[in-house]
Amino acid sequence: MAKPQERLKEIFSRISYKPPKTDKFVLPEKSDEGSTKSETGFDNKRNEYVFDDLWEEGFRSTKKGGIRVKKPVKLDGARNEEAGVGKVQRLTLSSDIYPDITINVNYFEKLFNLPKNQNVVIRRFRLRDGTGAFIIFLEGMIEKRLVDETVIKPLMQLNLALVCPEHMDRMDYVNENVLTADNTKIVRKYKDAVNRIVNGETLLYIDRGNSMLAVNFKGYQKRSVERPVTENVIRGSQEGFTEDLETNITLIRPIIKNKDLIIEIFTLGRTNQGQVAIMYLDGIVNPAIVDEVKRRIQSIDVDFIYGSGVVEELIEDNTFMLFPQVMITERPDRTAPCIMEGKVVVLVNGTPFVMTMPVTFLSLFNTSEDSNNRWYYSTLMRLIRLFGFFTAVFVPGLYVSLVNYHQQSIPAGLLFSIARNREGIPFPTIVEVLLMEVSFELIQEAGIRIPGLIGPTLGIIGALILGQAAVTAKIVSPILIIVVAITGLGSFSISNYELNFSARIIRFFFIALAAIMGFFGIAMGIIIISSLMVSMKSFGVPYLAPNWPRTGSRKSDNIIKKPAWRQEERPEYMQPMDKKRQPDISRGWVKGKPSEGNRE
Amino acid sequence: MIKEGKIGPYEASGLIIITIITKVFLSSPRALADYVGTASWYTSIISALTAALGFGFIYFLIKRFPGKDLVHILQLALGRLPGGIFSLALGGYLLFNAALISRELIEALKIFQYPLTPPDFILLFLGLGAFFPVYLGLESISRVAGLWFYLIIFGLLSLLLLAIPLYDVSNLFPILGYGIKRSVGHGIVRSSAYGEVVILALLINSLQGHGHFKRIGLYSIAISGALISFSLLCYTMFENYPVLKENTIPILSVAREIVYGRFFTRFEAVYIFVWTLSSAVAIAIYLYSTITIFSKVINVDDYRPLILPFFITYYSISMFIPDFSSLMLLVEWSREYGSLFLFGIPLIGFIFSLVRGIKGGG
Amino acid sequence: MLKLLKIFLCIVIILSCAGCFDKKEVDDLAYIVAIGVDKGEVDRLRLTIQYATFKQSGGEGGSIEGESDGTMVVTIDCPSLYTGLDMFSTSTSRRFSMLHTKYFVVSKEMARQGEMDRYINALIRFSEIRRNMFMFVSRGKAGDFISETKPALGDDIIKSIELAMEQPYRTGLIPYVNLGRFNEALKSTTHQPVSALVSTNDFKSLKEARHKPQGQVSGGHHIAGEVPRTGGVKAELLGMAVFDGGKMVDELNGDETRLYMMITGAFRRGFFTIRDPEKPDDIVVLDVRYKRKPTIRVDISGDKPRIEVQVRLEGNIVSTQSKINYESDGLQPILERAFERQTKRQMDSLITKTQQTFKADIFNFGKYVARKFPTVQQWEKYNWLDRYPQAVINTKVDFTIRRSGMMLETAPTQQTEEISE
Repeated sequence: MAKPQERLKEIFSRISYKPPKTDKFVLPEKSDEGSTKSETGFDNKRNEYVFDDLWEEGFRSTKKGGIRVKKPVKLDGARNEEAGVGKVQRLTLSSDIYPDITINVNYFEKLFNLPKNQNVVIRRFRLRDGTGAFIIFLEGMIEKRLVDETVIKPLMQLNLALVCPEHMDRMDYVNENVLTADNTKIVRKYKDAVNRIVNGETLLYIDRGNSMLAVNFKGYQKRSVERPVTENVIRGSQEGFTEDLETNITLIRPIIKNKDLIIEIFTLGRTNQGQVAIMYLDGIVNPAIVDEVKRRIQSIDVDFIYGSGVVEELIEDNTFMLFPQVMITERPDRTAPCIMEGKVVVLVNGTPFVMTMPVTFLSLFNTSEDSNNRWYYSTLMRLIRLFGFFTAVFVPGLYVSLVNYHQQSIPAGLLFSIARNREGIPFPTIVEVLLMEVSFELIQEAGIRIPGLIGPTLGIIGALILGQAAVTAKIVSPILIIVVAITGLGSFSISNYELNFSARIIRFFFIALAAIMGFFGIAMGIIIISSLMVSMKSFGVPYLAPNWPRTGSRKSDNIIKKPAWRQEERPEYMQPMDKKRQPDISRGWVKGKPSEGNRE
Repeated sequence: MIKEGKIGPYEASGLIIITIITKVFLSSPRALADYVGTASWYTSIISALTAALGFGFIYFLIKRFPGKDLVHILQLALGRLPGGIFSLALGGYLLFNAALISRELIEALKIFQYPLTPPDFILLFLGLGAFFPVYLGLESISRVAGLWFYLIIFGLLSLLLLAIPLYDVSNLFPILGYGIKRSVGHGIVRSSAYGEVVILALLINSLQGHGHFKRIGLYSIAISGALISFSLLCYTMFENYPVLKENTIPILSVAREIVYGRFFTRFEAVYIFVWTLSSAVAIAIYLYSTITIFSKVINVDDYRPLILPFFITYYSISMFIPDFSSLMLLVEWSREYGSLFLFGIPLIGFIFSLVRGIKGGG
Repeated sequence: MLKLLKIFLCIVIILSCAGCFDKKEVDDLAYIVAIGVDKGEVDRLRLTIQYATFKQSGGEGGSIEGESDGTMVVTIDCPSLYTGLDMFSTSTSRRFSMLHTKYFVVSKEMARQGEMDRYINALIRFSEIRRNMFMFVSRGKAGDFISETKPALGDDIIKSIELAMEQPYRTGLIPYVNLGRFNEALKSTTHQPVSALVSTNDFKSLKEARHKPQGQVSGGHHIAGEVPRTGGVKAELLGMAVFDGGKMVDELNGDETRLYMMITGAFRRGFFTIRDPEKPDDIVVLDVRYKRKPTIRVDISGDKPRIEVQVRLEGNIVSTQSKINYESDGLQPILERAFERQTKRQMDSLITKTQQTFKADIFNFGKYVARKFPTVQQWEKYNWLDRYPQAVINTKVDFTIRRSGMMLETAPTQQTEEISE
């Protein structure tokens, strides 16, 4: 038996309230913004590494990091002075590379949070003469076999002290005489080194040097070049961009084999160092456009760049207009003609979509197939796409206004059949239309999200449930199914995916206006939308150029495609430096004569 | 200076033509048929010629003062205060015209399509449609006009051409109407129908030169003259002359009688679109001109803060008219005396600048 | 920009809450297909309307009186048309709409009263009514005509009315007159209105052999309601009513309507039966069209206006009973001259009738006369409509046979002599 005191305690504990134990994780609110200096003198926030004494620091890290260095590296007198033993040393990302291997190893370990971050490999080795060296790279980002063969192997067999001439920088010597790698670059700042490492390059450091050698053996996993998914054509190239920036550049390069095709690469994104490339044909593009694109891109200061969509939103003129202000495409053969017209292409690492700018509304209706097909066929197709756009925007609105306001404009027979079918349907037309439109949007969205295996069921649901059952159940009238179907077809025929979105949104706007005022409402909507459209500009080019406003001569490609030999000029609204695309007579044979004996 | 941007000759002429031919869609052909009977179609040509003459004076006035628009010219020629007052009178007339046209459109819409909707509501909608282009500026108005110019002209012409089976050339006779004197007299008086070209003089700084100004003005008068005259010709052929003055909205009556087979019979839909689009563009440019005149007179650099007050004024004037018959009276008044404002004021400026020998430098 | 967009969205939302004043669902309305006006007994008018019921024909019809073939016919005595519609609403759940009214029919009794202009003006003024709605005068009660108008083929009443009104172009037996044209003619200074004549046929003409042709072989000498036939729909359209202003003065039969159409230029095609010029007991059938539009020349220099009418026709032989070889070059002119003579004779008598009996220029000769006057004042002083009866009108008919169909010659029928005698 327990003691009475304890019994009492237990009884008391039974009758008293005890808060339940919680083991749930709680995210604490951030207490302060103070520095996160660790005991090693490393400031994680500013990437600042402070050490007061070179020797001691060397020792300490030797003990702690467990790097097998028996003795601290001796420095010669001059270097000793220069390093300033006993002084407080401060290394930041922007400082020059410190001429000591231990310090550098230490600093990189700190920078990459090494024991924690197991993705980073620092491989230390010695040259034949005992000089220490290391390479640093990210696991999985490089072609390891190549690094072994072209960097480590030649270096380990190298007696650097013996072969390197006095006057020559050792890293230069190694670069020029030893390594068999082809793409190398010497960097002198920590910042560059780190950037190259995170981009998948391998960096070599040799002791006592004040530079590092970046060797580009990128070898991470990437998708191979495949057919484009969103833009299909029948006649034309079947290549599509991939997620990799360099691959994408190499897809465009072979189409425009010109020395003036310029590629400038920018690094954006504070945290992720996303790569953004701009591409243009010097001598054709108006430099003002390039400068503006560069200005906008360089001024971007955001946390994270993960694809072209972010960059698009960051650099477009007007974020709140519904229409796309850059053209997004997945096809190199769609991009190259844009460059040839004097447009600027922006490629962003991470998405298989590139942006061309400036863009005009009518050029969004072109596809790469157009230039491959004969002119009359292409023109017809463009007009059909334009018609599809108008269908997608206006048809439901027109339907609503016809059946709610303008019954006189429906032929009597059709009107009576609509009325007969509407008997028994409890909703007003506008509710019916919204119901069907929303369901249609649902099908579209579900169709994208649906796992591939059960994809076919979606068609059944769409066709059966919405088409058949809704009519039978007297929820919507059958003619509305036709209206929604035509609208859907129209919106799918729009070649530009972004424009498809705008059409879908504007459609609801017009449905609302039609419900309020019928045709008059729609007409006012047209005025409003068109006045916004004509006042829009994409990188200084009016959105409805070259027709509204009219610009220059009509010898360039517009909604009506001209035969290839008639497209003598680049679009005037781009203000290209070289306006002439080809001479007035581009088919030389028209003037020439067939060979003797084959003449009529 | 108000930032007005540059507009090309195509947009500018489209704008002026739309503004001029908007009247054809409303009750104007009826009034003309009432006054001159079968002669309305060439009466309108006479009006156009008179307007071209008036435009010539405006051109000479503008040419005397390079780089200045009408308001500044008037202030230079007449002195600051009188010039301002005359400019304001012109602006007031344009505002009044905008109110009349919208009220006419609203009444027509109410008669024909929306009998239960309150007129204020329709006007609110119309005002909203006109507000956006006005807010976005001259470039926007002119490009909207350019954008819908072809559609409006195509709509008007297709309505008129589809009605060919309804026409009888004999209805054009007696060819002289109520006598040549009456036709010419009315033609000259009603030159205000083409008076909108004076708006070009207000926008001169956006037109890229006097050569453009002259060309745009003359082309606008010629094309809209041809269109209006053709519409009136068609309308005259549509019915015998005593019946012509019956229809409240003449061209709509023509459109409603078009029959092709059993299906192609209902063209009011096209009519509503063409009608409202052109009216909205016309109202936008009227209001824009008024507001810019006012801001130039009072020396304000931006016209946008003035939009709302002017829209409210326009709304009030438009709603102040009690009924359709008084509206018709006012419209007639505006057409008959409109030339005094539209051509008379620049003419006064021209005469004064000649007499006082004032010439503007660049 | 975002602010502007927000304001705009707010306005749209507010407007959509406040708006929709004139919104009317398709099935909220009862669409009137036909309007008929008779003289009322209880009130001024007896109004008959037919409206679509949206029911499939052959369903559970017959439960409501007046309903058949997807339409309903109701009659009411009322002071005016529009009040009548309101009065109908006491028994109908939906609002009446005249957006799709196809025809307006007035009884002869009403038309004779001379008040047509009042009703026409009332109709024209109302915005729902289209001017291309057809205009009929009914010889019997207008209400009877409406209730007897049923689709003979198919079940779509609108379609059958619309197709029936293409008849003027197929046969020329009725004129093509819609509300707008009637209204114009009412107020015009150049001509007088006419209207298609309709009636219900009680099928007694066939049985009792009334209206037996006396020397007539044309078949078009009948008038609506008197066609000797049986079976089919009782309502029929044939002939035309002639007005002097708003007052109906007389009726014309089918043949006369064809001649009217020929002179006015509206004629398209028709089968004509005439007596064989060689064997008067037999007949010849011709398929006649315009060769050219008629030309009308006017001379007002004299005391009386002189008018020359020239009608040029061409045609095919459809049938020759006499087996005379009219297809041959020598005999063809005999047939042509015979047709010309007959047409001219009939035309002259029709014109005389309009001048002396009706005193109404229904042919629109006035529009050619008006060309001779420079100003409206002079034209109005001339007062054509009063002067018309004194006009000297000469007609000239020109007819050419073009083809003879699938037979180029009639081979004689071979038979024994006994039968041929």
